[in-house]
Amino acid sequence: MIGPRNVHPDELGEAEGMDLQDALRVGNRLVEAVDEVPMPADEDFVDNIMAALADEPTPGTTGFLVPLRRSGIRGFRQSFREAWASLGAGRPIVGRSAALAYVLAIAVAGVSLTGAAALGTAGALGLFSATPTESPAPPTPTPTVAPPTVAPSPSTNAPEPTVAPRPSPTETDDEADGPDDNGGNSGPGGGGDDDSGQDADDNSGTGSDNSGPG
Amino acid sequence: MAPMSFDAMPGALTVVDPGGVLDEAAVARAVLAGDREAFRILVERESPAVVRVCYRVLGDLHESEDVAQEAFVTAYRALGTWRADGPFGAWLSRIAVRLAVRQLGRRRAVAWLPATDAATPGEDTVAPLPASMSSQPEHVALRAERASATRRAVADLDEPYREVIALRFFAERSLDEISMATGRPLSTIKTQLRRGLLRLRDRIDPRNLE
Repeated sequence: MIGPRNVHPDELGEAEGMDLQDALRVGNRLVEAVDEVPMPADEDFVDNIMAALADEPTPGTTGFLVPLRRSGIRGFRQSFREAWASLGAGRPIVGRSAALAYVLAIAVAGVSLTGAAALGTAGALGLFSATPTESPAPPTPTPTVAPPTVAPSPSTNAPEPTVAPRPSPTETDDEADGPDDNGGNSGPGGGGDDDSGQDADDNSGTGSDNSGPG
Repeated sequence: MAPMSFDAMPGALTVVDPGGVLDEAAVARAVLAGDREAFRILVERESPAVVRVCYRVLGDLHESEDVAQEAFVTAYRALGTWRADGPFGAWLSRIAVRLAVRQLGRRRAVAWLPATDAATPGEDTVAPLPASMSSQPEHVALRAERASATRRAVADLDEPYREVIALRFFAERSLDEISMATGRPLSTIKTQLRRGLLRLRDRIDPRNLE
């Protein structure tokens, strides 16, 4: 191993005086300090590195598109896998952004195709031509105000219920004293006279009827 | 997916020009085109330098290999951002230095710290080593301790001085390569190198600078 060269004044720019001398001394001290490094690299070192790179996606901003360019549509799966792997940490931000956009575009396209396929299948199975079923939509209040309507009033010409005239009994002399029966009953002594009078008339009537057939 | 190899695509990739110089940009284009196995060329060529720079920051070979492997994986993931206007090794070394310094910070956050790791600059200076005793076996450990203190002093620098000094001394990159790898003008790199060394001066024992 050759080791680092001693520092030349030209390497230090426009240094002068003590600064130049000090910088040269420190630089040469550094050369001495690093000049005794043994460096036997492991024989398997290169193979280990290449093995570590085996699972790495193709480098570059759009390296995940390389399988597509090389194998066409058959490389799509590998391309998506590399793009997904490129999203991890430790990679340039530009490449990660491109890979993220690629993965999202594939995801959106996949969802769209799946939805279209589902709709097509449902249509082929006739699920859309069946009798429409009423959807149990919740009642929503309508914001419109209904105009005031006049309810039809019952006609005044309708026949009112009439009270059938009751055959009034024949007036007696006792009834002339009071306006009605109740009033007659309320009287302390006249009520008994009224009842007796009515019974006498009714009985006489019925008696005459019964006497007819007999 | 099985990685594609050069044998599977004979003549599809030319990575060495007529002068025998590896065309790093062609290799990078092949990797970006999906030829994962093409990255092995860069790994085989750059792995000693990457492990070395990690070791110079961390001081532990096993840990340095782990960080170097992480640096290669990071570089592979970010290969699309390499502008190919400078050596691939300089760009890779920059990644390795950053990861190694981060690993050093993690280690210091969880490890038992010796007394020399105190935060005060006076206690964090490199002990002087008498030249007459440098060949004695008992001073080998002392030299290792000095190297460790130097690494810590560099790691404690602020950015961008730490990066420039690490690339210049630990990764052994020229200032032109550092300028291309960082995208900063050469004059700025020189200024940052000088100021970084002067900041280190306050952390290294003055007796050791004589």
